[in-house]
Order: sequence, then structure tokens, then C-alpha cells
Amino acid sequence: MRFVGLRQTWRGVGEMVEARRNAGRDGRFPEEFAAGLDTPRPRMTGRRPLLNLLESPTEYLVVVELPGISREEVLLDVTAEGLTVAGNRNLPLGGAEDGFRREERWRGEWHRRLYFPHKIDADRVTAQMADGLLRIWLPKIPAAKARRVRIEAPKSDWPEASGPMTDSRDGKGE
Amino acid sequence: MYEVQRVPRRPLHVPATDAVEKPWGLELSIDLPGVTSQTLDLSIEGQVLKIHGRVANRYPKGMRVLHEEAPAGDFVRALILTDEFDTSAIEASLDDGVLTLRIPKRLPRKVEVRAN
Repeated sequence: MRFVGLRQTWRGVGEMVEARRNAGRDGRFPEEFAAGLDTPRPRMTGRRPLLNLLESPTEYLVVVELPGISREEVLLDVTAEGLTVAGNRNLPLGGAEDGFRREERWRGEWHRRLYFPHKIDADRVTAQMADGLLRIWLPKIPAAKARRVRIEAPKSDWPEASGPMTDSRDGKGE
Repeated sequence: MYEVQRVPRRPLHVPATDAVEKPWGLELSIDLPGVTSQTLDLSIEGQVLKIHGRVANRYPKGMRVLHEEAPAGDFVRALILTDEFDTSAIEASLDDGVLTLRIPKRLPRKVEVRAN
């Protein structure tokens, strides 16, 4: 007999629920989650990878979620102003001989572009990929230091002010 | 007075999951970025499959968050499988933050009938 009704039988206990309270406390599977006592939080991924941007006084750190993508499949371009990270996530989803399929993961061509308020030292940018996370470190170019100018005493041939000085604050105008 | 124990709020995420029914069974691909084989708990109770991927705080110290689309949190998902699937024979592998599960269908068991 053909397999029938997988859609109804393959379902998630936890999809409707979220349990924040016990998660990660002792490493156990949170019971509230399975019991359905909390509200859902789906990941708002859309069709592009999620990224986080962090900053220290000397550098930026960009963390991009790229699960299932090898480092050879990622193109990273950096300029002094920002970065572009792009690729194509090709995920085959079964063939003609396969039955039921469910698609939740994002796939296809993707790119993310960031511009930074600080200039980036593009030659010293480094990037690593591990466990589906791409980390990019972007050192900032230190802002040009202001030069303090010494104020000198007026010289003897300083030009004299011509005519009486007016004060625009008295309201009468000129 | 009761002493209320405060546990730091830590978001939980439902990992995106692809499923394909193959002739031999069910193939699941689950996005778990930041989860390693050491931080993944996979348990089976009867026909309920529980996935719990713990994600360590991925930020180095001294850095300030400017923009956060993916807050650090654990991945949790539970799946109920039909009796057609043999949960005792699940194959699992975790590569580059993707968990792949292969769950074979149960083979029909032939019962020998003895003649007395």
C-alpha cells in the first residue's frame, strides 16, 4: 500500500511553542517547549542569510549565518567603504521518484552588502568559516589625528579695522 | 515569601527544516548554524524525535552589537514520526551547521506460521 498522509503525521510538537525559561540552563531539552506552553518564534530568514554586526574601537566583526555552504562557495569583496558577500545556495530537494517534500530553508542566489561609517583597512581584512558561520574581521583605519595649531601674538603690521564695529545683537540691525 | 528564581532570557529558535520522502524513508536537512556535534542533543522517545542544538555566545569580549538579525539562542524542534519510520535506525550527520537525518521506513515483517 502506498504511504498516505505523511503531511498530517509528520508534524512538529514544538513549532507552535517556545520556551525561553529553561533553555540552555542545564542542557536538557526544555519541557515547556514540548508541552506547548509558550509562544512561537520562527526565524525571520526570508531568502537571504542573517547577519550580525559588532564593533570595537579598532575593528568591525560581521557574523553571517551560512549553514551548509562551504567556504569555496562564498564570494567576499571588501573596499574601504564596505563589503559584499554573495553566493548561490543550491539545495536539491528530491527527485521525480520522491514523494512528499517540505521546503523551509532558504535557497538560490543571495548577497548581502554593508557600508561602514569608518574607513576599512581592506588589506588586513580576515575571514573564517566554521559550523555554518562566516566571521569577517574588518580593521578600521584610525581617523586622522587633529594637529593643534599654536596661536601667535599679532604682528606689528596687523591691518587696522576700518570703520566702527557694529553689534548685530542689539536688534537694530545695520 | 517565595523566592523567584530568575533565569536569563535566552531566545529559542525553530530551525528551518527541509524534508523529502525517499523510496527508502525520510531525509531531513536542518539548518543549525553555530551548532557543533558536541553541542547537539538528538534524542528519540518512541516516535518523537527531539533536536536541541545549543549555541555558545559567539561574540568576543569587548565588542558592541550594532545590528543583530540572529540573536544567539538555542535551536529546538520536536518531530513526531509515523509508525512507518524505524526510529531505531536513524542515521545522523552534522556538516557545516546542517544536520542531515536519514530515517528508514520499517520493512514489513513476515510472520512464520508453523503447522502443528
